[in-house]
Amino acid sequence: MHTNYILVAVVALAVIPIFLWAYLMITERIAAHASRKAAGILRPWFWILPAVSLLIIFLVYPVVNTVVLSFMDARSENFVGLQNYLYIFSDSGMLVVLKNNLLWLVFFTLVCLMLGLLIAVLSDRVKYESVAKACIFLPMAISFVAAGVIWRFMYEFRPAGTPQIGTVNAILTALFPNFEPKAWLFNRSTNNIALIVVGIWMWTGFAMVILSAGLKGISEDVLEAARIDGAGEIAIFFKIILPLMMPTITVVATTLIINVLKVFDIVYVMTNGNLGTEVIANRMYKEMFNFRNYGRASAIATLLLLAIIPVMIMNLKRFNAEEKNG
Amino acid sequence: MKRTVLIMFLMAAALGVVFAAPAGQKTINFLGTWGGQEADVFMAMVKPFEEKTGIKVELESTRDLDAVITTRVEAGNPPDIAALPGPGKLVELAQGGKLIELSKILDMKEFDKNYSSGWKTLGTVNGKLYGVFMKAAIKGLVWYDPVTFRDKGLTVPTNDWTWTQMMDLSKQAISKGLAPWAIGVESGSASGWVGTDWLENIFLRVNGPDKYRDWYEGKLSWTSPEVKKAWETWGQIIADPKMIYGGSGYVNSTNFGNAAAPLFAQPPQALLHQQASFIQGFITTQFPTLKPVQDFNFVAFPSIDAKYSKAVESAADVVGVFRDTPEIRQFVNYLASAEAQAFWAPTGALATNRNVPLSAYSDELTKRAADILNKSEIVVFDASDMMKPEMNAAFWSAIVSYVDNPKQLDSILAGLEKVRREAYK
Repeated sequence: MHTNYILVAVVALAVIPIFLWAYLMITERIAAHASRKAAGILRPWFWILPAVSLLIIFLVYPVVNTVVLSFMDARSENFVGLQNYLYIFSDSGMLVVLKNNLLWLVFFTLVCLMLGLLIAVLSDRVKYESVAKACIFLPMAISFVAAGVIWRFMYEFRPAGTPQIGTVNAILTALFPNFEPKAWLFNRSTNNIALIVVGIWMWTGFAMVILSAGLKGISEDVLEAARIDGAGEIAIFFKIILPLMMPTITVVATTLIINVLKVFDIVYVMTNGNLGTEVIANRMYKEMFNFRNYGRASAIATLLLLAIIPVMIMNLKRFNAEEKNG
Repeated sequence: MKRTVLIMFLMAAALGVVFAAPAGQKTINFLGTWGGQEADVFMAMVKPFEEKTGIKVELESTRDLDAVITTRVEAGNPPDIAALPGPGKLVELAQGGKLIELSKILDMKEFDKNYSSGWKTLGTVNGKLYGVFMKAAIKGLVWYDPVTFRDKGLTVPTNDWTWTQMMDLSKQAISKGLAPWAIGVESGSASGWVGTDWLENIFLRVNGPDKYRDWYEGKLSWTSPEVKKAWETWGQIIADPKMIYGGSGYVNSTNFGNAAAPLFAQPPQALLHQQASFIQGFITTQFPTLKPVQDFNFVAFPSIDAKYSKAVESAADVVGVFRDTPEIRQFVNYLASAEAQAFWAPTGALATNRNVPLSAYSDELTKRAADILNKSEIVVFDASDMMKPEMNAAFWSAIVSYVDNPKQLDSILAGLEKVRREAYK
């Protein structure tokens, strides 16, 4: 069964255009035989059909199937009703998971937005703007897994009195001689925040770049007029810049929210969900691949989907509104 | 129209050629957790086979084998052969009808000559052989640095020492300014397994092999006095900050591979380290100047109840086969042979094939470990690896929670009991 993948790829490359061309030839012939009016109605459907069928096979079908599986048992053999959902909202481990996602949602989104905005506004006023922004944006280029590994080293812990090899503990013990080094990732009071900090480190750059672009879009004349009228810089920020940037901020916020609900890699690499750090996606992965409980894994996936839908609708609405305005 | 039909026909024919072309299996896909040095040894082991037969063996390595194998089996794209980390997964796959029965593949006369009935039984599911064990280790050895013992004027324990003597020795170590134990349980997605080894060794010596089997088969409640006693016995060490180097944060954040380092620091920070025989490879990689026997050595885990003092816990990788072709048959037979298994011997891994001569081991310590494994009266397999995957995973993270806060023992055990009830209903 060892297929020659290169050959398959080459053939596919040739076959797909030929197939599409043949498909259009055939449908055009059908349209040609139909009346003018019917052809007008049919033609767009013929053209859209390949794309729609791909969408149905790869997107709609899996979603529907996941929802169906979520009402079935571990091996997808019998219907169990709402049992998987009841489990999600009653199991003590799952409640920790939901609480953690909420923690991520609030802290990650707010801090990313605020830091992103702050850096965008401040860097706008200095000569070395591009360098500063590049530094903040750089972590975006690193994969989550690599970031997790890097930060594991940063958070390394050695007992008090021995040389600290983790950057965080090394800096803190050097600055404050009385500081007790901490095992940041293995201490229930700090581990979730320690993980969220990694996420923030990675995504602040994204927020900053988009917000900075939005900021540049604000006409200098408006700000100039406000200054002439005697407005202070702080008043200008809160009364002019912030309201004008609201659409951009919403876009960034929704993107961040969608991303934070899916957070997986950081937790997987750094703590594997131990000591109360598990999040929805990690739990889903474990139920699916380690415990092979397809019912529960699907129920969790459905829940995640339901949580993301309102955010997506908001995004779409705003997008539509902007299209109309534009 | 005719032209279109012709094109469609050609297209289908081309696809047919591509997918039907039987590539005459010349490559065997082998999935395992072996990376780094292990991968090198595997490739060295495979080389004579490749040269002799012209069949290529391709090693695919992952540290998250459980997930990878589940996905690939479910997707109908299993590897040809996989080295599973324990019998738990083997049983699951065999019961799901995913594995090939090995008696159809292996030369069974040869197999029975090479493997003890213990290993054969472990690889048997519902009366049929599905797994060949290899790369074994003895678990629960207590490692120490003889130089530290000499410098501090302490007496090196003997193999028949008891838990009480161990606690006495620990107190002496504290008085000499050493932490008695260096422990590290971090291990990525398997964090906590080091602690399960502790508990298994204690459980075996407190409750004996029969209860031990009930425990991993899910017949014993986690809230039973037997299980609780084992945790509390370990608690005498892990719950006491004076007994462990660096405190609980250090234990949870230190990778098992580096955990022995405080024994060999200058000056030494800790006296003892519990780990399987394979830790020797980690020690010599990290401290290349250390010589086995004179710079580091091991004794057996201390006995607790004299009745069960001769028990040994072992672990090994188990090879399962997903497809039956003449090439795979040839390779599996080679894999199980003494010739192939001898390649692992110099790395500190113990051969399960009893015809691998002791001379294959490169140093005295491994030789001794191999000898213990061949001669021991009660050999049990690592209990957590025998448990169902969700039970095993819950056990691992329970260890991390217990290290973090031993006062929570009752709620941790109640949590494990809940998982057991679900997993073994």
